[in-house]
Amino acid sequence: MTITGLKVLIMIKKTNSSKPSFKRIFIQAALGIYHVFPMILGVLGLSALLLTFITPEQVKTVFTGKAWSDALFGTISGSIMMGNAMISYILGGELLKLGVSLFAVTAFLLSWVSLGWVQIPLETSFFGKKFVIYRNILSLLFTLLISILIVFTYEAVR
Amino acid sequence: MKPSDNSKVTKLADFQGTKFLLFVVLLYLILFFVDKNKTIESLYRLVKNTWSVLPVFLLVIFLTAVINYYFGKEKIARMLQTASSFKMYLISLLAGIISHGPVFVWYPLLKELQSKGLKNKALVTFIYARSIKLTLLPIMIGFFGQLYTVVFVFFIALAAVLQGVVFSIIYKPDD
Repeated sequence: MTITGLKVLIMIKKTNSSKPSFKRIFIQAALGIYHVFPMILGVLGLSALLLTFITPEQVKTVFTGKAWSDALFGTISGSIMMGNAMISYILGGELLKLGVSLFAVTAFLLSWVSLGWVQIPLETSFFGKKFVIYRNILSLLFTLLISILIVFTYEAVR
Repeated sequence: MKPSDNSKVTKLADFQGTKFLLFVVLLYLILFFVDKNKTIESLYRLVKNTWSVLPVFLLVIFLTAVINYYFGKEKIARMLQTASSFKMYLISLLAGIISHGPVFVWYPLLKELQSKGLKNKALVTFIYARSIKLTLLPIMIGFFGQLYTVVFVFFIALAAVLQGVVFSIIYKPDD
């Protein structure tokens, strides 16, 4: 075998061995959940308090059940928060139990994952102001529009 | 203790949201004196909700591991740099769905790809498609049901592609 052939073999071996094992990746994924567990527990704790102390009647004074206003309010609420999407699912599920409309909850879930005002400065530093303004305005409009479409479609096919 | 052990301990103790959890515990303590019965009721609800969510975490961990194992960052980056327009949207969409971690982690790589010719419309589609959290779908189904989750995912995918198309029409780079 030539020296070049040997080098190639060593390189292939190195490339293969550099890939972490499934077990290691599984542990990393488990650690990912483990690290955010206090946050998850805190959110579950807070939502349990909200569900017990706040009555559906009180919630309905803010969320009126009108598609556009609820979607707008849900979008604003979701976009100013950030963190693991799992937390938005927990909060959204609890908001539904409180009687908040599906329009608001859908917009809340969508904006939580698609909009993040907190990340705008960082995004701007990479892609420039104009790109970020265009992208975020488009995302905001699409989030509003599709949250309403999601609910109408869901209600229609249910 | 060896330095490596020290770093392991630091990594294990690197929790997110401990201050928030402490705040919630404090809230429970205060509310206990305000309304004892309702606070105890909240605690029961907390235990019940946590117990119901726990098994789903196992599935989430497994799915995350499978995706991370088969689709590394570099592999997704290679997938994104494709030529034809239809294929580009499709790959941006799929890459966005299977990509993991917070979006800002992807910015340096996306910037690099952009400088190597990755189109802005693909970038926009990729970023919006990240709203679909593949590994968290079991949790979403648990809270909102299968039908809602399917409709939700379908519309995000559609919106991601449409956003790329609209962006390419309205956005003109300064140069």
